[in-house]
Amino acid sequence: MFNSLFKNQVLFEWQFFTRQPSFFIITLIFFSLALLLPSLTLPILGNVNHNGAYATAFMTTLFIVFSLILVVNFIANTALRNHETNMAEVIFCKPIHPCSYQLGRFLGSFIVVIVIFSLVPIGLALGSFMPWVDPTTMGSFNANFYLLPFLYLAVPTLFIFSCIFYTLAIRFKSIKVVYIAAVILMLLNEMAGNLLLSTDASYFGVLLDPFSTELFMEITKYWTVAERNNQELTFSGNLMYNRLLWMLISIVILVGFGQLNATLAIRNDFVKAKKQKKSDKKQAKELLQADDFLANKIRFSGVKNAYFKQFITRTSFEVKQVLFDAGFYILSGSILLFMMVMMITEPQGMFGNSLWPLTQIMVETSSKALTFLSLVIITYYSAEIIWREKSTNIGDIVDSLPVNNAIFWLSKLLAMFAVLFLLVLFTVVLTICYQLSQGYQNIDLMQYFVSMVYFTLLPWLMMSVVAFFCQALSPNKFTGMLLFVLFIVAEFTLDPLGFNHNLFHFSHSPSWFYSDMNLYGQALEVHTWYMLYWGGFTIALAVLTYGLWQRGPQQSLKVRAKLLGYQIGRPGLLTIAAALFISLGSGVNIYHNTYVQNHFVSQSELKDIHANYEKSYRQFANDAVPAMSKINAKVDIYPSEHKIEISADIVFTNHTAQPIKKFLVAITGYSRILNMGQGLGFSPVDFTLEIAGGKMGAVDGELNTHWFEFEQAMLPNESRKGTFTSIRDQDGFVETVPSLQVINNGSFVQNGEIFPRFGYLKSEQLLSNKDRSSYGLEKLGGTNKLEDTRYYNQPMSGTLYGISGGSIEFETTVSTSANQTAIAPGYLTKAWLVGNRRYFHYKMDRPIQNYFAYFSGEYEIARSHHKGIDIEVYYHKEHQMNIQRIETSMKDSLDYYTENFGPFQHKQARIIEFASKLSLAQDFPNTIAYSERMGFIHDLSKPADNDQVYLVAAHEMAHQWWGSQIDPANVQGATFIIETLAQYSSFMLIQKKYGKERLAAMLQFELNRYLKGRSRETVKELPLMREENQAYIHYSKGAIAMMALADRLGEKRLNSALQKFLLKYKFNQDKFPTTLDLMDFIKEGANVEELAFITRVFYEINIYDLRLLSANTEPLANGQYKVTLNIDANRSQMDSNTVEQNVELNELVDIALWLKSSKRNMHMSKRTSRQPPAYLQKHAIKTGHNVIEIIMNEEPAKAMLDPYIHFVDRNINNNSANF
Amino acid sequence: MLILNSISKSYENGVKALDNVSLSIPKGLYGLLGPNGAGKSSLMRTIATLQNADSGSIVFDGIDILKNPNELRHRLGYLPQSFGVYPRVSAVELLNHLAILKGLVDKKERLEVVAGLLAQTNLYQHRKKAVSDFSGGMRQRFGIAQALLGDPDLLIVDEPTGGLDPEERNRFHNLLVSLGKDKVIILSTHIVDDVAELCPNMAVLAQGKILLEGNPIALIEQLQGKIWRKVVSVAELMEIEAALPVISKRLYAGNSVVHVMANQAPEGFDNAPANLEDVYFSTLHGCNAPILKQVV
Repeated sequence: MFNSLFKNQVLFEWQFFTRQPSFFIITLIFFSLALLLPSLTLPILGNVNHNGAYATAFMTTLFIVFSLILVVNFIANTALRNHETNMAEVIFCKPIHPCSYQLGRFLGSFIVVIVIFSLVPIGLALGSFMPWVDPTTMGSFNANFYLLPFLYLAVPTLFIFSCIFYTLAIRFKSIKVVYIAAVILMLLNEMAGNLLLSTDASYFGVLLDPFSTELFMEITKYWTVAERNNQELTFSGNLMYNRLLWMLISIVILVGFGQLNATLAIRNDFVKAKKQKKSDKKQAKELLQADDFLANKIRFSGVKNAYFKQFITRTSFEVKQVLFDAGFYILSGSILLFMMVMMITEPQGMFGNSLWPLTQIMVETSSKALTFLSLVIITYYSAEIIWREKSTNIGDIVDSLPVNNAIFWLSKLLAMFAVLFLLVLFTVVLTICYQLSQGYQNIDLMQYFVSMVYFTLLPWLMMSVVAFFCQALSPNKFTGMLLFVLFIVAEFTLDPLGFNHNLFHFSHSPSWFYSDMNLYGQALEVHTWYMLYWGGFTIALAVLTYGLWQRGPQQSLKVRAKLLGYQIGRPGLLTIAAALFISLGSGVNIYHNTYVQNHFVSQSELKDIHANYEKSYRQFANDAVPAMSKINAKVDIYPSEHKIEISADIVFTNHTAQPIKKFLVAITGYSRILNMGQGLGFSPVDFTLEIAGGKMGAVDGELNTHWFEFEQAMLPNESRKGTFTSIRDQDGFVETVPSLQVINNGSFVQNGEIFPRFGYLKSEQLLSNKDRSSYGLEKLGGTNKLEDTRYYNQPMSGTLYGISGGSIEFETTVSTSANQTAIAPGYLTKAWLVGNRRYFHYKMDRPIQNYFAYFSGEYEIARSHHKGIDIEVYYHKEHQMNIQRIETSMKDSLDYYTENFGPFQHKQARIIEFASKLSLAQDFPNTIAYSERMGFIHDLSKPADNDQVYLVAAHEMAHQWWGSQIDPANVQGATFIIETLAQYSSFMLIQKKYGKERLAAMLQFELNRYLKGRSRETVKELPLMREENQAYIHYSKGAIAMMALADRLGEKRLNSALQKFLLKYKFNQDKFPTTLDLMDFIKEGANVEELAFITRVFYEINIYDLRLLSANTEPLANGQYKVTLNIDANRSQMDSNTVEQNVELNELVDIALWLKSSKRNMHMSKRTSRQPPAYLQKHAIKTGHNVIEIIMNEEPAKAMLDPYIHFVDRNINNNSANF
Repeated sequence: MLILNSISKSYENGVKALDNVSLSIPKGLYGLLGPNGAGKSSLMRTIATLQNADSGSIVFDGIDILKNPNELRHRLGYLPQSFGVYPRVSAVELLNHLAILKGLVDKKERLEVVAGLLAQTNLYQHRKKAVSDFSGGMRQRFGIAQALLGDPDLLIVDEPTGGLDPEERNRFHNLLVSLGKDKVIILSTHIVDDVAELCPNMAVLAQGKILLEGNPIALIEQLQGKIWRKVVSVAELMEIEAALPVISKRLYAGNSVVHVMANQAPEGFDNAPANLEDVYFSTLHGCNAPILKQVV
């Protein structure tokens, strides 16, 4: 009996669903998306095979998020079907065994869900064989890559969702509760993702995620390309814990609360025992009262033009329906909780420290957190609101009332708007509370309004009109929600198809940022035009939706479409016409601004241009070009007009051994090839270039690249005078963040952006090998090989920015508006005011590299004097928080670098703040550009904060030595000499100022960046010596390597090697050094072990896995303690084919012990607040199992391997143990 | 005066719900009788401006309601066959809300109407309860109350008394009769007694067609002397059904009471006074179509 009923139920569910149209729609969608996905370019996949282990699993996780819809639809449907179709009374009176009945239903619908999802791996697998797939993106087929993610990630997640949703639906008899649970699960997922970003709580994050999508990202975060292609998922570790935990939770929920065994009976769920019955007396009184009203006149008739009153009543009613609902409370409660977690855990700085809770930062955090949520809310509430009358079955009554369709429709739309508005309002109130709780009092309400309402909310409102339209097209809620989701998905697929202009992205406007210096810049104006453009469409869509309004019983779209014209009538048509006219008008204006006044290049066009450039000019790559050797420039900056004018007298010199007859000239903003990589929008520019004995020649019309031709070739070492003039002027606005940073306040322009560049620009070649092969270009050879002596006389500075190398004499007169200060490298000799223009004359007293920049802004200046050097910090008036820190760093840098490396070549050092969305700092001769977000708004008030501000200033100061004094040869490892040595110098200062424990805390971030960086490598990871401008190597691995080296050789010995190296190559103009030269100095006097160590760190790629398996202590008779440590150690090495193999390990590894007595001050996870250890010694560790015994005088509490991160250890979480 | 002229309506699944329906409905109560699935609700909804007809026209007091639905809605009261309500909204709130939508913007008037209607429908003491928690009968009464808002000139009530107890039903009937003097009230039902008690005019609708239209008393009169009755056993019933035009049969104390229509008394049958039920069933079974059509 039990069994047959069970089977019967399973079968019934299966047959029931396979007869529903939604089954086929969903099946079709899942399968076709899965079939298409392998052929799409997903940026996150980079260079890995699209049918490899990682890509397939990643794609499966995308569907897991989608599967929420699947589970809600099928499982909740099963649970609620008897209730909703009023079949319960019929069924429950049959003699059936409740458990087998319920379990049968549950499993039946669960099987349906699994069957549909199984189309995902099948579709993905088939998709990789489709003819439209690019075969270069595919590796060899392995069925396990599809099967394992399905089994380990998808099936458990579907089971978890099914149990939870089934139970909720059964308990609450409400689909709404299920939807809300779905939203909460999504929030958990996002929270998990956020926690995983902050290293301290990542363990918690791994367990928190019911979807397994964030879990998967965490597991694979350090996977290299080879692993991503080949490593199968295993059911172990965090994956296993997460899956088992959630399965257990869901089984407990299902069995405990799913009423599987409860007798089948109709329950009056949720009819709360209402307030106690009224007293008899009172009731009698009311009855009497009622009799009075019997005589009431009930025959008043209504008035015909009650529109306004109806509208107000209806709107407040709709809003109340949404707000006074448990669902809304739960939803907003969980959103607020989520926001709180976001705010507290959001890591802002490079070293985990937070920014001041400035309004701009809070707004950014919260609008980022809400982007996805808002779509979920729109999807859910649009369905809920539109179908309210239909689903409560009051439609016939309400629709027969003398109320205009427009009133119904508008009131519903306003209710939707109210939900979104309240969401924003709650968020703003919460963030303000957060600001106040952090002691930040400068609440900028206007900025909240503009950023959160105008920039954030308005596009959502437009999106919700689209959602309403989707619902109006659909025969039921579910189809409408699905349509809207498909609309959103379709938007994401536009970019790769070449429609990346925001004119194609509904309700989008170009990206914007707020800066304390520049405020919104041009963004307000630009956003307004796009909002007008999309607003017009939105209004037209709203009128159409109104026209398709369902009144009365369900009518098909066809029928309603026929009546559309009649429904909207003349006023409707006029509104549509007017709205489209606004769209058209603003669209034309946007087009004029972004395409005509400025260029717009789509991503695919951009690739065409770069490929075309390479094909046309590659042959001239090794042509000799003249270099600038003396520049006297007059530069006029017009901040509010976004204009900069240049007129320069330049001396050109042929530093090469060949005569120069002609050379290529490109100008940023003029030549289509040069738009500074920002992309997609840039302004045209006018320029003239004259050099004695030559003239501008032929123009390549398509690429705007010129030939400059000499009548008489320019001979080696010959110099000629010339002039260059140019106006870069941004008329109107551009599609993206403007590439030219001449803005109202905080301008920063590099010479590469305003001066011409000569010769073939290798930097403008297509970089991705995939793109190259599609244009028929051979793979890039990479940087010049380290051993290639042909390039030893070519400085890196000459090629990095496409500007001819060699040093220049520099002098400039720069003007700006009267209220601003303009700055350029050199020393100020004169400043004067003419009319409303302020002029500054700067002159450099010694040759510098051809690498300079201009700044303009309303600055406060902090001046000090340190041992003969002027120190100046130019900053925005509200940003005084970290100025002292920056000054200290500059002074400490001058002291340490001068003492250890050599003298500072300038009389003055300046740091200048500029406005940028990016966190970046850049050094120029005696001048350092330092963006607002790189350190001026960081909150370092707590002693445990990692001092990023100090570090970055020290790093840029170090470039005045490494970079400015020494220019490496243009071969592999060149950026090592510049960046790694600057990293070393600045981390050395951190160690001096904050101690080794703090240094380790910061190196931990570098280790994480290195491991992540190498996993995203798209070309090839190389050893430090040979790195090819790879940031994760020269910054992150470089910092760890150099600090380990300093530990091994000693600071004195290493610094003296560096000093000798610098001395030999300082300001060299003919032979430029390589990492080989550097290593010669470092290896001087090293013994065999040290040489082997240097080889491992700089010449090889070694990844370590050190584990402290257990730590025991036993008291000895003499009162001492014997400590026994069980250690497991392994090393793998990546060979030149990027294959990782285990190799033997034989290292001296630091072992640290802390005493019980200091335990109080010691946190396991927080390295920042760690005390120095009581015991610290290097011990020889070999491959495999090691047992170390140490005798201690006091009882130890904790042991740790490699506490100062001298090894690249894949997992440092297993390096410590408590006794 | 409500005039329906050749109304036809087909649904997308091919069902022809209304087939060339023409009626003219004077002031007073008008009964629309028909079995389940006859098209009554389709006709009611069409008149209530909830759906359009494929062809034909409906005119009320000079308003073409298919073209100007909102004009009619001002003068319409509609009680659908089955309906739900918004959750968590009390009776008085909901009635007040619907009253505003009906155009009762004057607050004093509205409050008077709302209280009066709640009292009339015996809901006043429950006015603060959520309508969604009402029992079936209470909910039906609420439906009646809302249909009467705004003093409609055209009142459409679709199966109104289902779920009402006899006392409530009486009370509702009295209310309808009292209102019926100057209104067009269409009462759609399959309960013959309701029509017999209330309606001076009626029509029978089956399979989307009007089979019969007229005054119930006149219609009954036409059948006087043609209805014959016999008490038979279940076994005999089969034979009679095969031989004679049986219009109705009913169990009475374990035997069947059969009504047959014929000009002369069949053997063993007694004459029975005709009633509306005989009119209705004979119309449905088509046996008297020729006779009654002439009457109409």
